[in-house]
Amino acid sequence: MSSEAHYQSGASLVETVRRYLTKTKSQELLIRSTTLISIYLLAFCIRLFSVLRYESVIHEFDPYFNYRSTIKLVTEGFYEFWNWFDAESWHPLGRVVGGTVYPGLMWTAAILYKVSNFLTACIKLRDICVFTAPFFAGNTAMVAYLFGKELKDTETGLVAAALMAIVPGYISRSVAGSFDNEAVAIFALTTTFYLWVCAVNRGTIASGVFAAFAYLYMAASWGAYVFISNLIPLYVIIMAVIGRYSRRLYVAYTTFWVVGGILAMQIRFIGFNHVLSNELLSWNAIFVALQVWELIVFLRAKLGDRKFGQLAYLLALGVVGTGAAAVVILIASGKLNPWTGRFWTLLDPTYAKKFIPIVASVSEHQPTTWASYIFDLHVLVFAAPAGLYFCFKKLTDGTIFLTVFALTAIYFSGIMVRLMLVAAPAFVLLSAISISATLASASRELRLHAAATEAAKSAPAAEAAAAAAPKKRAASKRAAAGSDEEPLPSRPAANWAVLGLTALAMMSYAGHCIWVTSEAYSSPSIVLISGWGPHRHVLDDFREAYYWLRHNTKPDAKIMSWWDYGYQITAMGNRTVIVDNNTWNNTHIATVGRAMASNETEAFKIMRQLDVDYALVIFGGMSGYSSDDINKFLWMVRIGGGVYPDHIKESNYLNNGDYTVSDRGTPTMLNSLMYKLSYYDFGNIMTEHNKGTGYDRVRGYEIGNKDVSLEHLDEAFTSEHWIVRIYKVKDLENRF
Amino acid sequence: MRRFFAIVALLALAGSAFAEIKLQQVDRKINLNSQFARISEAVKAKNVGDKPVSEVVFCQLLNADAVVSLYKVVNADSKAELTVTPTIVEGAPAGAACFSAKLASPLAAGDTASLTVSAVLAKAQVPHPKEISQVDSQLMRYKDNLYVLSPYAVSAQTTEVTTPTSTVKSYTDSEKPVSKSDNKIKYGKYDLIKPWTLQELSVHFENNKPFKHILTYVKEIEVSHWGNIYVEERYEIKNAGAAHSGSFSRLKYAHSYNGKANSFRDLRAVLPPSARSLYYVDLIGNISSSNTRKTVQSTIVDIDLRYPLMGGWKVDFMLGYSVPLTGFLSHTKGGRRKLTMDLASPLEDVFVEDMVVRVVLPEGSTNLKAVLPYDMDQSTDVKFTYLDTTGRPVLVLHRANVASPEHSAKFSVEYSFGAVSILREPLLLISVFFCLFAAVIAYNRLEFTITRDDKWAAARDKEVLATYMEQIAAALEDEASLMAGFEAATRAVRDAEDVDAAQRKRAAVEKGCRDLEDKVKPLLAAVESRSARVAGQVREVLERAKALQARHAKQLSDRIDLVKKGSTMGEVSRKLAPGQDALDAARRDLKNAIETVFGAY
Repeated sequence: MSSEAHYQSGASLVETVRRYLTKTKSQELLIRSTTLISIYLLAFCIRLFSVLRYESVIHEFDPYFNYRSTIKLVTEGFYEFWNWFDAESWHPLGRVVGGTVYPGLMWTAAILYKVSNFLTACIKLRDICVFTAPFFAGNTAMVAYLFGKELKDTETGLVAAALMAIVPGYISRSVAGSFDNEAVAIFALTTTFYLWVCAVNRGTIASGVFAAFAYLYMAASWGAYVFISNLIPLYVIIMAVIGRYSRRLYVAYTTFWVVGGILAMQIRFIGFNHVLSNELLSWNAIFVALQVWELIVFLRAKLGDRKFGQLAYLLALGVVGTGAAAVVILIASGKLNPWTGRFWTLLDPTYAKKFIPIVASVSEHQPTTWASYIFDLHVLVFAAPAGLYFCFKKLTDGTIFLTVFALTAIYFSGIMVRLMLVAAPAFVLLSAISISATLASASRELRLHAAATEAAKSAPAAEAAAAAAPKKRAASKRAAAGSDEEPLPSRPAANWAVLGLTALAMMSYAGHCIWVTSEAYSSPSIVLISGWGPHRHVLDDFREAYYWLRHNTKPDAKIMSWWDYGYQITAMGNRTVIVDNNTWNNTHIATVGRAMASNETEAFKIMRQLDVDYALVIFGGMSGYSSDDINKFLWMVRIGGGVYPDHIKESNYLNNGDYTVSDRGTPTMLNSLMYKLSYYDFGNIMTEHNKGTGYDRVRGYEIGNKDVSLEHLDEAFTSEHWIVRIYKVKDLENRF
Repeated sequence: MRRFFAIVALLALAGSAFAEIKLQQVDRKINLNSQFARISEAVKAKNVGDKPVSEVVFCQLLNADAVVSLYKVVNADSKAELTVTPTIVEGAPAGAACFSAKLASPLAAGDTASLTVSAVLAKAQVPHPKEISQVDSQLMRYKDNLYVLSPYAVSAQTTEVTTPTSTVKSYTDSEKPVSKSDNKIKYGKYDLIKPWTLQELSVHFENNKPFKHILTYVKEIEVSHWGNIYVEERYEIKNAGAAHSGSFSRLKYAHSYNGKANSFRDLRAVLPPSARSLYYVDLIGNISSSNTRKTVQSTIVDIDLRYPLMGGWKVDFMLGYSVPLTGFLSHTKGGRRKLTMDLASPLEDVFVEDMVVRVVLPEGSTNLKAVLPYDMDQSTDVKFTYLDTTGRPVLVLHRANVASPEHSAKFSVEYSFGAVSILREPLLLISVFFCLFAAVIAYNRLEFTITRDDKWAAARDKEVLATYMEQIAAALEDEASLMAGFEAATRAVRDAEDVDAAQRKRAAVEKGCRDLEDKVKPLLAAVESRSARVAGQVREVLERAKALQARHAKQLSDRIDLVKKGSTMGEVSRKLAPGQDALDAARRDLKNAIETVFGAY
């Protein structure tokens, strides 16, 4: 090679840079990387509304538990966290947190914290936790880019990244402060799918192993890993049915099953469920089926048709026999129990509502309405079906996977509002395909038109050659694009209209996303703000009361409240609670519900049995805060009545089918502990002008019993706007 | 030696030395109008011995948990403050705290000195009853000695006790004369009291003033030479008044005139006027209730605690702010730097049980030396924070029982700091990024392939091809610029004199083009060996380039001919126009062809 003369241009540095910048390839790279960086920043920044408007604070309920766990992990180390038995919740039962938690999120935050501290960036742990979700949203957008690129082309990738960065369905769970499993899990989910499609396209063991590691991260982060481990077998079945089964698919699935399965089993919460659970039946069954199929193909090749036919007959008999026996044995031994509530919920959306009140009581478990599709996805709702069209138009293994993913995700998102989150990436990718295809074809037409016009202009000139080249190029490009049809006469106006409409749709999408984020998804719910500008009023009652608990009660005091506030009390108040948002023990929750729904004497007995020192209720009648305990009381009665039907009967709380605390309320209702704790001292207050005393601003009427007195409890603390009320449970009277 | 003398002096005092001094007149005032007991005594001491005396001893009886926060003796005539040291005196009753004040000049025999003693006692007022309900008023009991406790004989004395309100439940009235008017109780005058005479003084009175006790106070001052001083103060505060008992009713608290009892919620911090970036937070986030006002002298922060503190309740919080270096950091004459800041808490009217001040200086600071207004324990520590390698030196100052406002004072820390040290962190960052980029460059230039299979070979071929193509493209660009020169030369031909210059230029350009061709030839051959298809395309482009060159040459010779014939410029342009159009078309054509062939590399 040294013999070949190496030509070096004698240009100056400036000239070299200019040359570099004017090269199409480097221009493309520059534009692409700038776009990606902007998208990353956009994905991060759009999620900061809550920090700018409120503060850097952890939101809602579950994130507080995750925050507390992360503190535990960081301060006491990995093994302490792994073996953590939390005696501060579910008193007196406690909770084996180490074995009942998806630790992916805490690991992530702890690693980010350690790394940033090692680099002497000294970011506070709370800030790390607050900004984990936006950070991962940026990462997800980058994965969407790679995914789009793998599915179709770079342009699709860019569009996918841009759409993913601001899709409200995802923002809803990933604003700054929303330190929840979903924050990292959506990243893990898209990464797993992306790497899986890569594995199918490449058919190498290495790519399968990569996908398996992404699956480990997903399994460590969120219970929806089951979605992946059912979707991928489903995809394999579909591929086999439509005759696209290939050796690549076999290698990818087998590697993924072996490595991914072993890795996922390392998560304590999953363990052997990964093999035994019926939720993962298809995951394991498809693996066995693939091996059998390959064996059959192998034997057929070796044995010849006649011998193979005999063998197949025998084998079929044997397999059916042993299979049936195995299922019977497994069901009989209790290893295989296919008919759990969760299973039914997925097939029948109304199942939970009918039979499991504790599931139905959570608002994010409600079926999705059409309005929320538009709200969370906006233009993607229309662009995604067009994407399906483009997928079918040019079927590849990747687009088939996307189609399967999208259709199942859309089905599940219809069951639970929460699963909209899983549907969002599918909608984004489908829409990216349709939008980029539309833009590409319109702009290609325009370019061709421009070239043709130019050619037509120069044609009259003496040189015919000048005209020939663009035409030839245009023709070759058209051939490359793969359209066999005769080129339509290009109409620039129509194409401009298409481009303009798409731009308009994208702009309105962006506007909608920003609006939704700022209006609906950026409230930490732990601090409430009413009014604007000079009339801005901060209601910080939750933290006021929790902090009071932290500093002015015995360190081992037990707090009884409805389960919604359990995580917040343990994290902010640092006190033991009876039940919390983990809801692992329905009976315990029902006991608390029963205490709240019973009269004071009865409730006092239950509270004594549970060692309760303080009872805490959330009350909005004074401030107009509507998601308070009186509005949730319905569920306490139902859940309590579900377990203790002899003591709690829903009908006793209903007046003509109506839950009410007005003077029409039933005596049982007006004597319940919840009523008393909420309305103690409230009966003589004027809350609103021109209304009588004891006017409840949430319910909009005067309360039924204005003269509430307490016998066994004492008001210990009430926050400034009466939102949190804490009562001390008195000791037993001295008996002489 | 000094210590030896001190002991000798003490022994001497213990013996008969107290007989040398007689307090002729003591007027004592005990002010209970706050959470403290502020005592001031105007003393006339006379040396009745025959030797000069240099030290006078004062004592104060403390009951229960009471502590002396401050003890100060001032010469009433010269207003000079005397040095006061705690001392133990033989014969003093239990619970007495004694201080010896060193006179500026020894008191000669027979002379009289006027001294003013001021003491601040904390925890001297004890709630009685210990617990009160929300609507009760807080009653405190203060106990002291009825007579001024002294190792000396006192000739005449009076005591005046001031209470916050006129409500006094009971007071000692055993020794006459005693008189009470409004919120003042007067004892005395009493004559000829012997040393160490004990007689209990007890006052039980209403005091609804807030008892703001700061259990721990940690202040961290972090200096950055880049223009900021960060101050963060952590407080753990308690209402040390009578404990709240029974229920806490928000209704009474908000709507009854007496529902607040001895509680408090507000604090006021007085910060420097240049304070900015204030924050007021606790472990679980912002506390959304504070107000800031700027005045010329100060920044006043009105703080509301998260919740009102009833008796016995506690809360903690953090207050932080930044100030610029100007006015706080200065250079001393010896080339050292000097940081001057407020020492105690900026909160008004609080008692701090335990105060720690940490001064964090930039990395590379040495020889730390503190100049303090009063005694404090000193130690050092190291703190690691942003971009630190060896850690920042920390001076830790500690003192218990600090009263506000008596202990508010400035302090300074002097230290040496090399000018180069300020560049430490930027250099660190620069080197890290340099290493990062160097690593990326190295990664791009080096090959980490383990197996050299077909795929590798193909990729490698492609890469090599790309470098050749790049070089050919560069040559073509050079040629294009040569052509531009050619065209300029053509245009410059306006009359016969220009012809020679144009011919020379033409020769130069043609030579340049030939050189380029020579250079491209081996490159083309190399491309040919890798991809005949690409080489074909390149050849096509080169032909176009050659054709363009020929056109240029023809255009020039045509123009020369015309000029030689003596045509006018207009005529020349007109005649050459078709040729020029064709030339432009050819150039555009070439540019397109280059883009098509070389764009991908």
